[in-house]
Amino acid sequence: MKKGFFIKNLDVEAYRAIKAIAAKRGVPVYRVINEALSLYANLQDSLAAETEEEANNRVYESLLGDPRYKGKWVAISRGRLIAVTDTWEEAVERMREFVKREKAAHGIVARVGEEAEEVEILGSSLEML
Amino acid sequence: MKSSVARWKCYRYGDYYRVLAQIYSPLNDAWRKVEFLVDTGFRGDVFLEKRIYEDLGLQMVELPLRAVPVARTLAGSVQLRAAITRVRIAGSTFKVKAYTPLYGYGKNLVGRGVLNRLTTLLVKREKTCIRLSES
Repeated sequence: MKKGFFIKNLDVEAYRAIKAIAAKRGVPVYRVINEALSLYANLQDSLAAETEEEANNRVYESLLGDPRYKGKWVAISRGRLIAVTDTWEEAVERMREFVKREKAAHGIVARVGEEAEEVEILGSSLEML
Repeated sequence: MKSSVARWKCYRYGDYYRVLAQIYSPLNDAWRKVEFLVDTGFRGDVFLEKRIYEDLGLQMVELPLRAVPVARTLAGSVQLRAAITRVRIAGSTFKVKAYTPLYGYGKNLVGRGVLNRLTTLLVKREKTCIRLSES
């Protein structure tokens, strides 16, 4: 017989959701729990390997679609939302204050929802590369 | 009576049409002089050498990746980084998007995004002149 564990304080709702998934797929509950544990462990690994720039971009992406931030200026650094402001100047000021307090290698100051503009470089492109 | 004589700021030609401008470091709240090549083939505001981009601390106020375009060039597509800053040319100050390549060194170019906001005169192989604002 394989070794088992007794885990206290499991979230009942989450367990029920897992049980429902297992029933729907027709597999034992332990298999879904094993998959969930492996998935979480892998996710932790990838989060740990995430660069500061990736973390900042992930935070920015998480703000998209949230009506509270649409059209607002945000300052993001070290994977955290530092400020939400109405102007670029305010957001920059908040980033400046943040950098004085904490060491950071990358930051984002952007208006939430703004899309990329097209850029074309003709004359100098060959030399530039 | 107000004078109707236009005043110009001119920069000497040297292999390319050039302008001397100042670019703002939002992080340090300071300005830095940079010589730009006038590039009418560049659809964008300003392009910076990566060294200058980083000296200005623009990587701390960068736009998110989804808001940064991939530049189309004669040599193919170039992945860029970008930040909002300000540029001061011939007494006029503009808010601009400053670009630098994700890989490679880059060059200091002033593109049509800025030139279209100025009155610029290119005197053949002699100088670049920018009309000073009247205020």
